[in-house]
Amino acid sequence: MSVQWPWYLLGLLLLGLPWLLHLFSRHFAPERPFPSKQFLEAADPPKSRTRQLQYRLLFALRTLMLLALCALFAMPWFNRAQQSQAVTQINYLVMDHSLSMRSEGRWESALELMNAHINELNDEQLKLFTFDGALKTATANTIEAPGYLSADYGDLVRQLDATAGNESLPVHVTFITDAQQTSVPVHKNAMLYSTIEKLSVKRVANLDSINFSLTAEARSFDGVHANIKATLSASAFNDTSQAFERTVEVTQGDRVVASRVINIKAGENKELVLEQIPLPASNDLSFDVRILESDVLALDNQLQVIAQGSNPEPISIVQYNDLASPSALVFIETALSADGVAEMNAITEAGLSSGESISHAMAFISSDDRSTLPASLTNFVANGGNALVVLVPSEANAGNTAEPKEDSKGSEITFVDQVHALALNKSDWSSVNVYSNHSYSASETEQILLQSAKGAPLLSEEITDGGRLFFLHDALDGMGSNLPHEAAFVELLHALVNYFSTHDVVPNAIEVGQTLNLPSRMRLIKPDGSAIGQLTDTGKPQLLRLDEPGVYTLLEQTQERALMVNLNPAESDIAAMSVEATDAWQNRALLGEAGVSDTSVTNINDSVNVRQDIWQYLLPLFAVLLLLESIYANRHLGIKRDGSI
Amino acid sequence: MSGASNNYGRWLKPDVLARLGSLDLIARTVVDGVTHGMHRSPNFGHSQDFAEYRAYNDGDDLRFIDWNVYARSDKMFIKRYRGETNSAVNLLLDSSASMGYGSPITKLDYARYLLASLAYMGHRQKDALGLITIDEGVREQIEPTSRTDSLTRVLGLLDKSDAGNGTSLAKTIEGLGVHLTRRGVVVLVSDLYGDAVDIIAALQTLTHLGHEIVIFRVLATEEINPTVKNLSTLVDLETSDKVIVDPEFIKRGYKKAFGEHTEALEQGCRRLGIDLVNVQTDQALDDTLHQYIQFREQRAR
Repeated sequence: MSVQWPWYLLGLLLLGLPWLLHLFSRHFAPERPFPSKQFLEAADPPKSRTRQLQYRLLFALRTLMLLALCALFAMPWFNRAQQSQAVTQINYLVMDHSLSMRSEGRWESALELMNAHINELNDEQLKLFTFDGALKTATANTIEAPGYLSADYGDLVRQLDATAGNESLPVHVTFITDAQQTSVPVHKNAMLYSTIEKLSVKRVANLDSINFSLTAEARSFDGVHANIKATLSASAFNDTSQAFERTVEVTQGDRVVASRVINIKAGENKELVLEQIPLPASNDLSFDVRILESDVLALDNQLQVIAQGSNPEPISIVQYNDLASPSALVFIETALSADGVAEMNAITEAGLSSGESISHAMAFISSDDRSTLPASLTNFVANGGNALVVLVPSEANAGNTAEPKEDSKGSEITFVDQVHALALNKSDWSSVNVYSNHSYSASETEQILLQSAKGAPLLSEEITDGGRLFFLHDALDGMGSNLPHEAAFVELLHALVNYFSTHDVVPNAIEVGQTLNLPSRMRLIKPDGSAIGQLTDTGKPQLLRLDEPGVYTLLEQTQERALMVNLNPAESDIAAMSVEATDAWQNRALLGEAGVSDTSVTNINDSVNVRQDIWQYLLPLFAVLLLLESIYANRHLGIKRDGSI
Repeated sequence: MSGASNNYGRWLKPDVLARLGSLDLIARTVVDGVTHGMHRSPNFGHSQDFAEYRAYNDGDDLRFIDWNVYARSDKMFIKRYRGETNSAVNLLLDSSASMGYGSPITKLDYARYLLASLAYMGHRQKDALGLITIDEGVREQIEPTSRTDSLTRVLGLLDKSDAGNGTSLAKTIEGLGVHLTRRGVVVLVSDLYGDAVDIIAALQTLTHLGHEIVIFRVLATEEINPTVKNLSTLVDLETSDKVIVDPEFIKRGYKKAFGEHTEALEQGCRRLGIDLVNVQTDQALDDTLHQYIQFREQRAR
């Protein structure tokens, strides 16, 4: 406990005052002359015991009043956090259970730290958790090795704060982790904690370790050969400029079908394409791709890829009026034809209404009023069709497009839906500028996926009971935005086609830990042959979280296909947070992180050491003491209202 | 005697008189304002005021036989008259320590003013004035004399009298018989502290000697109705003893004891034919004298 004005404590010297007063009052019988004692009768000797008891109570009241008064002036306060430490606390020990902890030696080091920490705490209350995206309780004796999942420190803090909020005592968290940089959330403020009182981060890592990871996909365009595109990534715990030579090898069964040597430095991603690899005659279209050299994390050095069919998705293009920019068609056809993703054919509105074989469509409507969609289009979607509707904003309709807007600065894309299955967050939207300022009000059932800084939507999705319905709010003429000129546009269209082609949202590949929305008519077979999910008649999809990597098999009533569950590439990046950033996280400030110095950090930091003033308790206490003293003095000292006795 | 008279409008407050300084001037101021204050002699003499007839006995002076009565009744009676002059007036001043109490003037000052006034009155009717100051015993004495300077001597002794030591009033009065050789009027001014029975017994010895006794009991208001708010220590002025008293006792017990003492004194004085006059120090001095003289005249008739 501290006091703001310690000099006022000198007022405690006044405690001698009531003592003197009571001393004098005990013997106070003033002498005065009197003619004769003849008629006087000496009063009974003071009943010292009774009087002392009475005066002691009064003395105690007055002393307490002075104490309270001095304390009020001195303004005592205590730091609630410090006080909590002094009393007791609950210790959380959280073990990073993400994939990266399987790197050579990290888990063993983590276990040693865990045991040392447990011994250090002795009898203090301890709760042990593991975290791999979800906070799970564990015991020291039965704790398992990390799995394949990834960790996000923002999720960790959020779950810890929620758990600690249910505790009656302050919570101190010790987090044993490899402090991966890729686990730091995009919004770094998500790492700031408010409920837990103290966070200690203990890092485990080999300082000179380096890791290489591999991702790959195989695609066949002619049904005879396959092209395998592999991406090799290198990461080191600490920065290094040394180049490493690595060999990527593709095998099918025991036969090596391709091999390539590549030089790579830490922090680099290098892509290589192995072309014209003959497909086997059997139905097994899988290839094993691996890095021959070993490193600290072997799990991400190899994977199995399935050669995807080369048949492009058929996309029907419907143009509802003549005002749409002709260039829009060119941009779309160019983007979709790349890599043979889609095959387009133009149809009329009547053809869309009656087309039985049409499943995907792209419609051009010269209007930005999405509420007046043509009936043919709404019926198409309601019947399960998927559509991308290019809404041409009104200003483009009015002919303003004659003025090129590239010179204007435009506004950047500032909102990107991070969780949509389109994986929009994987594209680079930083170079996309929207020049249009048209206002648009989304409906209640519409979800904005891309939006400019000025609030103009670029992409949105209507939630329907049928198929997928997306709106692109751009004329695609290069005037309303530079979207058609950017690589993100191609990636967007490919993602859309891929999204459409996965039929019922089951993609060909997902990452470990992702939730799969498995339709009731499907069944999933794990790589080891065991089944997941059951065929049901309810029609409701099953939500499955796949925690192990490998090639799963999707079974339908008449066919089957492969589902690749890949490791999260982010977990292969073993680059660690800087020591400064880790320290800052422990202090909640994150000052070591570039670009994080917003006011919310400061505010939260201030609120940690909450100063608990005591005057609000002392003041009513003083009032009560004053009241009691007055009542006691009036009753037992016989003091009247006018002060006389 | 403490009540004010309606036909007398000049009251001389003691504290105002005290400013005059000179006892002689104070006495003149007081006495001149009082119209007729002549006290009567206890001795029967040759004044013009008839007193009584008494049967003639052998040896009586034949000059005092009332021959007119003898002519009508053939019996001889002696005609007796009340004597008026040359009475001995013995003034007694209690100058004990308790008389030094009171405010704005002390009981002793009030007693001195009162005795000075009485001395002045006695001097005007040519009485023989004497003064005795007493405390634990007789401090000083002036024998009664009809000399012209008797007043001056009495006033001089009064002037230098101050509150002395403790008192033993009863014993002192009892021993006064030796000093009061000439029978006459004895005027005692005192607060009469002491045992009432002893005081009355002592006074009785004086009355047996043929003295006419007048007592002015001078008290301060503060000792009649003391005001004690807190537990206080009262210091006896005569013995210096300290007594812690409770305010509640002062309100009740003290007044009761004081009243009982006063009652005993008054009863004893009535029984002995002694005039007891209770006087308070804040009472006008001429009022005190005027009322007492009126009382004496009414009783004489």
